[in-house]
Amino acid sequence: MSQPETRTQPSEGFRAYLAGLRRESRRVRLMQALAIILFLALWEIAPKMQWVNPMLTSNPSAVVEIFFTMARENNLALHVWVTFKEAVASFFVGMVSAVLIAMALWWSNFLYRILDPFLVVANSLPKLALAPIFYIWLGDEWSVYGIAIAISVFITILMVYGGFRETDADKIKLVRTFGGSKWQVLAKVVLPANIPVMIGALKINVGLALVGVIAGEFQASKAGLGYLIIYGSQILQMHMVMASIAILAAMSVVMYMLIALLEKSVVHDRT
Amino acid sequence: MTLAETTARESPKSAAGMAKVALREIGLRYYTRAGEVEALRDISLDIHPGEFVSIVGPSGCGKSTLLSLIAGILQPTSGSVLIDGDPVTGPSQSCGYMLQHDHLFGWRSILQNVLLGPEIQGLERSAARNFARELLGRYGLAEFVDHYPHQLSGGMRQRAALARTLCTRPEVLLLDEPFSALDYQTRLAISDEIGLILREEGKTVILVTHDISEAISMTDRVIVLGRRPGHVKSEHHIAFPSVPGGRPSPFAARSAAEFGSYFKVIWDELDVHVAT
Repeated sequence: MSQPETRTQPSEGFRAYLAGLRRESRRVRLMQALAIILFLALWEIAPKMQWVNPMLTSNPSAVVEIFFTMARENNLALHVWVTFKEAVASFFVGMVSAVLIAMALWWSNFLYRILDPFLVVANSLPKLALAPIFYIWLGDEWSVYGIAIAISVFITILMVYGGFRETDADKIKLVRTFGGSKWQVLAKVVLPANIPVMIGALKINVGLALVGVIAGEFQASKAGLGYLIIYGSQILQMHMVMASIAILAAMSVVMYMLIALLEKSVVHDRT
Repeated sequence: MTLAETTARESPKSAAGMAKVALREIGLRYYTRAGEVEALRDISLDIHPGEFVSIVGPSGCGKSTLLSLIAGILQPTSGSVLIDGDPVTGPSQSCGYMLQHDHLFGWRSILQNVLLGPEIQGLERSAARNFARELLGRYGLAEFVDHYPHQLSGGMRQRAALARTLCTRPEVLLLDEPFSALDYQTRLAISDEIGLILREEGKTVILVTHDISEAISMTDRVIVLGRRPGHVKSEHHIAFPSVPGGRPSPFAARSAAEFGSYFKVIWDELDVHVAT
């Protein structure tokens, strides 16, 4: 049996062991909190004491202040929403199209052999170099989606296709011995066996989609956190830049946590 | 089940001469960039209804390939496979296949795993569900239907895999070293158990193994394959007249008087040269 033996009366030693584990994770969390406090304190004090130029670094209290000012006067919620919407939509479109393409490549090895070198080049090409082209072709709004999708789609195709190919050959054989068709092999084995791979790709794509969206907004947009960062830096409003970056960080954490939740609900066990 | 009963059930059909599974001059070649390989040559075998046959041979002699041919997931280059006299041209629903590892899907519960075959073959759902539960109950897994594979021990997983194989009601069972991934003690216990189950069900069984003891203790006939290309080297009918009360259980067979001499003969046939 794979479960450890559970005893009704835990021994002294076992209780001490558990308490030790708890104490250690408490200490880790304490140190993490201290690191944040130390960083914020230094960031607050250094400009105030004129150790660094406050114009260049901003400071936490000013960031909090400008956050509320922006929320009141600059329609901050709209900018956050624009970036969030762009990131989620590109993330979703990039992911779905990449999985569909990976499925097609798995289905036809011939197709894979044709496309392989192009995919490799497309994956290693720095997609930000395409930003001006996307701007010319798609305009200021749609180019943001274009860049974000271009950044995430190729690496996702390669990752997911790699997972499909690695699917246990004996599990596929099992389905075939029951008389399963290629579709059934895909639906009953290849796709479910690769859910962890796809979730891994989702996690990477949260970051990549945000990179693409921010780069797209730098290029041309009229709204979004990327726009605020560029705008703030152009008028040397470092408070605004720092506040936007902080919101961006919070957004990526929230999106990452949503995927972690999804993972927990879908992947209940792995053998 | 006694030997007398088994014989009584088999003999009328086998006397009629209709083999359950027949291999007719099977040859198989396959091609890779590195060259051409002749995997099997001129293999002819008749396996009768209800017979429990084993195929032993050195690794690489094509024993597993032979099972794939019978299951219809591979086609021979020459010759033909007949089940009930009909040529096999694709995956056959009358065959059930058990692989070396249980290959239970980690993302499915035990019950859902057992229902894989009926699901693929589009069998009627509620009947399949009832049968799956019945099989799991019979193999002592009633409490585990909603568990996931990683929560079960190796022996339990193998029994669940057996239930999955039997859930499509195959008439011919193809066992491809189904116990080799288990530790020795579990292996003895589970092969004993599964051997008895399969005899009770009256299935025609073809067991591929490299374990001579397993072959002798479980089956009625041992077929020895030689290597490069795979061919039938010899056949040995196994019986234990010294044991009272008919065919002993696989476990008891291991200590029967005849066991040692069968082992010696087949060992010599296999021509194992460890030193070279």
